[in-house]
Amino acid sequence: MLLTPGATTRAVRAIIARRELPAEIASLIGSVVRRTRLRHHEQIDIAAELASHFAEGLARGADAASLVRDFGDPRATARRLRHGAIAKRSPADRAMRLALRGLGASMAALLVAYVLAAIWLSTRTPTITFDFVAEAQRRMPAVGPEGSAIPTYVRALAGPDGTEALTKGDAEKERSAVLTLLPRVAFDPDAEARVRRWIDANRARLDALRTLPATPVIGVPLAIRDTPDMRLLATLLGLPDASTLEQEAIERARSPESAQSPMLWIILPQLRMIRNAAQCVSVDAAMAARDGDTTRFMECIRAMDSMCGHASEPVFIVGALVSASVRIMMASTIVSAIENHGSAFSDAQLAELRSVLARTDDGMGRGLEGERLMFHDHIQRCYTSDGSGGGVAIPGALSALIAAAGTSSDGPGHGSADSPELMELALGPLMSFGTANRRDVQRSVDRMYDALAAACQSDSLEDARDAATALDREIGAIDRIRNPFPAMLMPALGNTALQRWRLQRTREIAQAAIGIEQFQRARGRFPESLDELRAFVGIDLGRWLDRVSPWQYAILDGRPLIWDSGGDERDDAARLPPSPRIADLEVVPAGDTLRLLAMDLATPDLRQTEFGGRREGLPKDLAPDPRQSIADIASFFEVGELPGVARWHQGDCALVWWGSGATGPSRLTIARPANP
Amino acid sequence: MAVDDQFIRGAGMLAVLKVLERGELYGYAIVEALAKTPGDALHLEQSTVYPMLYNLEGKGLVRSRWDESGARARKYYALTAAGRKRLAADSDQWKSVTAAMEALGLGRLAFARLETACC
Repeated sequence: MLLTPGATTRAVRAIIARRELPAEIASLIGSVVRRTRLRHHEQIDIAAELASHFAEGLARGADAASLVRDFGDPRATARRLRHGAIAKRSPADRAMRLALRGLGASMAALLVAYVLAAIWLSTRTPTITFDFVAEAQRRMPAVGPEGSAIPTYVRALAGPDGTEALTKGDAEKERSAVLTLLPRVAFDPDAEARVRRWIDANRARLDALRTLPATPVIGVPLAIRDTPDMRLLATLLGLPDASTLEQEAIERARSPESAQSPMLWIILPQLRMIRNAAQCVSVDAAMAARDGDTTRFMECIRAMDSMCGHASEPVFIVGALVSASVRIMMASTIVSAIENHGSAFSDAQLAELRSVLARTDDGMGRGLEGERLMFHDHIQRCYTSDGSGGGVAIPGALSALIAAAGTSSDGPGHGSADSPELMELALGPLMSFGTANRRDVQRSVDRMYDALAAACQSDSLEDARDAATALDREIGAIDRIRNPFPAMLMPALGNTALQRWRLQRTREIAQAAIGIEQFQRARGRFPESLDELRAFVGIDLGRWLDRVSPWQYAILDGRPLIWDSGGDERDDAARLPPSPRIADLEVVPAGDTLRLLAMDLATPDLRQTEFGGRREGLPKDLAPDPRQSIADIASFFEVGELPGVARWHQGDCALVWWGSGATGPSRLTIARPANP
Repeated sequence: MAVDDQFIRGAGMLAVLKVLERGELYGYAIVEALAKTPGDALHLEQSTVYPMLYNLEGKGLVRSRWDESGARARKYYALTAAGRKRLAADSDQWKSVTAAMEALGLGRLAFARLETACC
């Protein structure tokens, strides 16, 4: 039964009123009954009995004052009545009451323990055993007497107002359009004219970028923006409030008791700038090759090579990835130039190009180790240390880290409590004891990086893809609340392994293209076999390709062709299909949507076109295999003409087709015919 | 002479059972019966009687019922079978104690008032 507040009091008063008892007796009964704090029906029963008692006394001639006096002390009476009434309750009821009292006592004890733990945790401080920022700075190259490369980038990219002019707004759209047109320039006069106009408009900027080899080091210090170079860069990239942002991030990430160097907020805006600059230079290089200006082409390649070094300076994976991206761009540019205009290059230039391609330091190893060190720094700042590798999380530092977890490599995260100190104190024990032990966290971080390092050594696409998938799956399965550190690793970190595989493959393709050109010059003919080309080039070409589709080589129509059969394992003998066929595409399940991966025959870029098909709509017997042909479900999508494969140009020098390459620029290279 | 409340409380439960042996009674009548003992020795504060009755009821030694047939509603208490059994056992013990006290020279008169009321 639900009782409204005061219902018991009203009922007791009603009982007393019915007996018409004197005021002092009525007051005594009310006071005693109220003090018993018994249940509603028990109070009613006691009130009725006491009212009966006093009514009886009055009826026997006793006066109210003596009855009140003889009744005894109301407080003691109430206490006794309560004990007596409780004794009347059923054994189960009494047992429940005891259990509740026990539970209450336990809760109180727990609360006391929690408060003590919160106070204890609030007094913990981390033990800083190494200075990560100093160590990271030590691992980065130092700026030489020639100075930093930043002023050169600024000169090339900045507009009159000091902000970025070449890759922002309309300029960005124009540049993107030019990049799209570029591969077809040789076949499309309109496109070529547009590219030339763009180059002429940006001539001075491109000239500046080609001087980058003179300044091999960019020298961006970590977590220190207050330098002239970084102020220049921040202004250039439209980050006028960057200093403020960084200060906020540092304050948020600072361990309360540790005024030593803060946890690092990685902001590497130069990486985006470098990638954009590399794209611009690649356009210039392509047109230089077309014009037979191999000197300018070589300057462009040297500039891109410098950019690779600039990008890999920060000891983080993201820097290595950008460096690899630029290097892939550079290798593709070289391949295109050699395929189309190989004869224009001197022997010395070809040798230099091979030398540039042979550089294997992509910064990935340094990036992995640097980033691992950064996580160890986070751990040392967020945990106590028991001296043997163990420790518990420090709430203040941990909450700062979680707040900073939204911090990507190019900006700060968001979200913090209004009263963080109070929240940390209140939730401290939950955070600390709900988080994995320091030793376990350190082990899991190390395991992730070991797995990533192993994945980067994959010898084939399949191995790289499997390792990447396994790694991403493992990171995704981590309990982000209990162990936030590995969960902070970059999403799709496994793509790092694939990117490294793509870099190596593109690099080998470029080596092969140059090798064929050099072989033809040296021997007056093309290699008879791949082995002969390998022996001439001096490296194991094709080692990094798919296990299922190693390189194949043939001379068709007087031209050397290198191809593989692609992910579909169907050998098309390096001949183009008679028309774009949907069967030559691959289907890659990606969440609930399907991605049809198609290669535009006229571009080296992989095009991804999403169709709205849902996986549950597929035939039941269609396994989610990345290499699955979709010929059997083509009608299901009713895609008609597919973007990206609807047209291509069979020029006289470059044919690009690798079966159904699913990742990266898969190119079939063909050297110039001996007698065009 | 009034007897100390703490001293009488242990004997009080036996006294209440003894009073109820004669038949069912309501609270005020029980208080009255106890108060009428010689020398007022068993005069308990009324606030002691009711909790005592609740305890006896909780132990199953007495049972209660409301009677609203008269001019005044009354809650009557009566011995249960268990109450009667307990009364017999406690009475034997009480007699043994008084005999032992007498042997120690405390004399029968010292407990006469209690015995009169209780046993």
